[in-house]
Amino acid sequence: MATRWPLSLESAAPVLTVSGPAGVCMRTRFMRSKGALSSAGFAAFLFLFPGLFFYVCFEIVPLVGTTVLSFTNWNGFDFRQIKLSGFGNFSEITKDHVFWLSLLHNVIFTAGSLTLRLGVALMLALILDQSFPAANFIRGVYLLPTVLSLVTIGVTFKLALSPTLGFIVPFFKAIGLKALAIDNLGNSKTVMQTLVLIDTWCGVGLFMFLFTSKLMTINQDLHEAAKVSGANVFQDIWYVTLPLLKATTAMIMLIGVIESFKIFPTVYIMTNGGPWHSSEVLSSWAYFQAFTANRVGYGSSILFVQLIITVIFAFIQTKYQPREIE
Amino acid sequence: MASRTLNRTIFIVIASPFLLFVGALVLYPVVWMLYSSFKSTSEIFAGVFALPKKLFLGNYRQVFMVGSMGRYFLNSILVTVTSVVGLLVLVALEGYAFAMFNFKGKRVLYIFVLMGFMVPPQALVISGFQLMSTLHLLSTYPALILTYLSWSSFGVLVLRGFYESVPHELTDAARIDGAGHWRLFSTIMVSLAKPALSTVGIFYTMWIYNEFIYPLVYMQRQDMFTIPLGVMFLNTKFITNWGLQMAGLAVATIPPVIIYFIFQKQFVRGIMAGALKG
Repeated sequence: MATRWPLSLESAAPVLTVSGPAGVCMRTRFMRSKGALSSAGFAAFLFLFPGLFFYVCFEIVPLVGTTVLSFTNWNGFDFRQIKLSGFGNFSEITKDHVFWLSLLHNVIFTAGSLTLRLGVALMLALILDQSFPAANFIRGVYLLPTVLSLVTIGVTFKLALSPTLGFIVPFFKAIGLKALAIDNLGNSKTVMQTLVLIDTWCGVGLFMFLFTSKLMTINQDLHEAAKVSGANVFQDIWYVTLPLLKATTAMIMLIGVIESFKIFPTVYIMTNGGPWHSSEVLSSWAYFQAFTANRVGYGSSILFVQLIITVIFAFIQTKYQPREIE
Repeated sequence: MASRTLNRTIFIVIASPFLLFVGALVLYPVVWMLYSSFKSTSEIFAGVFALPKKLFLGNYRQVFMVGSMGRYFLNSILVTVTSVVGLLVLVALEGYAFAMFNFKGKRVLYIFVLMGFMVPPQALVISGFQLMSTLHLLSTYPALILTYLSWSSFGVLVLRGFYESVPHELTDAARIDGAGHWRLFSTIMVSLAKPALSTVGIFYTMWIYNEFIYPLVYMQRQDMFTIPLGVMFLNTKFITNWGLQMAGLAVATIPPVIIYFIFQKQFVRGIMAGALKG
């Protein structure tokens, strides 16, 4: 009984579906063995309904709600006060310098964190792939941050980074990096890179694990063939392993970009966009607008734009996804 | 052959310190937080790196009495368990439907369901707040539970993949014996799907327990906070009381870590399956 199931995170991208020849075979089979299509339809409906009910009510409806709200200038208090304001919010966005600053921060954050995570994770995965002793235990350790709440991580690092009371500043002083022994979170020049590093800390384990899983499926014969042809470890990695990782890397990048763009709890807890918007991201700015400044309409429009950008990114990335090398 | 073993040994010797260093980097903040929770605040301030001289439990006492962590814990558990159990039922059914039935518009519907991954919680929270407010559900358990029950996309993805991988001989044999879809589903599929369901369950549990944005917005009453919210609250209200905050963090951290170690297999399997192309 096969316990492996053909799960593919790539099918999370809205453009792809998973239905190869096996899917077609199965469908034809069932169509032959089933009777009237209507009974299949009704049964299918029964199975689908519960999940879809909650999904539509509590995910799609709010989504539509946010979209509609982005065309209003509602203050969030009285339903009867909702007035459509057309594209007013969006034209305000174009003049809102905090918005563009936030967008820039999102991009910096995503690019920085993704690059670091991919690089370090790849390195770790390749090292551990060389039949390293206790590899499973080590991987287990690296994966630990994934189970922690972002709030926990945020608060822990916020305390740790305290210039007077935390352990990070004394640590830097001890190893001689005086330049980094400052209030990294409260300094507008260093706050973004600090957030990037913390996000890397959280996310390396997961990426490393994804790479490792893929590496484990690479046919050992390929490595053997390379070694027989006289390749050393580095050539083996460069010519054999890396090309085979292209598809996985692309998939990880796709998911990583979508996830990174959504960043909110870490920023909210650690800096709340400060100091003076130097760590403001789209989500935190939208949250501020909607709940603190009582500009629900404007906040919604910011989120709407963020969503559009995410979707565009996802589409572009899916288009350019390299094919799997067999 | 001998030189290969030598190469390997040299490689391990060189790579080990690096791996250990990375491991330390990963573990230290968490370890620091954990052992600091057993130091009084003044002890912590006296020596940040120092290990506790003896296990000070005052922080934990405080965290439950003054910090209401016990109540938050209850809230978290209640919401998490209800939501996860509900979700497992929903996705088992929905995944089965996508795998076993064929109907018009199935592909479109599936893409529709998968869209759920792209949407950030923040985008939903603003109008979600209005929705919950209209339904008079603010600061109630259902506000969160109903929201989490909409997270079926992940589970559907996994379960559908799983069901599709079940060999047709099994399902055909059952159908020849006259089993209708419901029979097939409840007797065969659910027990077979246990590994898939447990992996999905673990992930959902982690995500829901650790969720921050929805409780932040929906739970306006302090006694309805969930643990992550409680941790943030301790940080903002008891800013100088580090001992208390550490204990709060520890209370928030220990359950997921324990679950992680117990269910590591399922956890690992879930991530691994995600890395392999269909």
